[in-house]
Amino acid sequence: MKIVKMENVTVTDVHFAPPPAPKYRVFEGRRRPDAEQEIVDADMRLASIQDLMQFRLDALESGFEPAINPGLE
Amino acid sequence: MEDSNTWIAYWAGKVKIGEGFLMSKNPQLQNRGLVLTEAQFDNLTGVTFTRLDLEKAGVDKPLTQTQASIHPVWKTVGGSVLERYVPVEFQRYDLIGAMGVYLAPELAVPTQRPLVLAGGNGWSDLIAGRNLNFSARLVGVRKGALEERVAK
Repeated sequence: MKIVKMENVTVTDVHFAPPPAPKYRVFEGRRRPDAEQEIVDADMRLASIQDLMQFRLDALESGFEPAINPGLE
Repeated sequence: MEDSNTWIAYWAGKVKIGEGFLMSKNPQLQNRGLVLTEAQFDNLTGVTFTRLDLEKAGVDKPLTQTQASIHPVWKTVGGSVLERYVPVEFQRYDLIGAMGVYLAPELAVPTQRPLVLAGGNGWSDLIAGRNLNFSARLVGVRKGALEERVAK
């Protein structure tokens, strides 16, 4: 996964048990929605299709509608 | 606009799929596909199928759950995730047909396009005919870009 370094933002990868829960990214410090969105966009662009499928699968198996919804372009 | 660094290339009845897009110098588009030389197509590192085999597996229409679970393109891009992904997708959306694989037509020259996880109404399809610079972009590295940046 690509780590994007931005001023005043620290990104930490955290796994919540039990696996295979989706990987969440925790942003420490003052909220920077613009920076968070930029990081998510960068990850999305470079994610493999398998990674995107895994993300959707984790959400569906958890009972949520996936944030990566291919019907929404 | 959808971005992908997974690509699909078409030439001479062959369909090649891979990851990691490298933009050539002086790129040209034809029918919104990136034009390749035959040598560039041959040098692409990816998994190659014949279009005929993919047509037999099912293309350009929704697949049944059985078809999706053994489809060579889905198996290529989905890897180990596919086995669990297919039943969950079909059950979540209560579907008879879904997860279609939609190819672009072959042109008179080799072409390369993004392969995108897309679809409608919630479930996912694989769209291999997205139009470059219109509805999708290939994301990757342009040859020589780093050297140009360093030189500045």
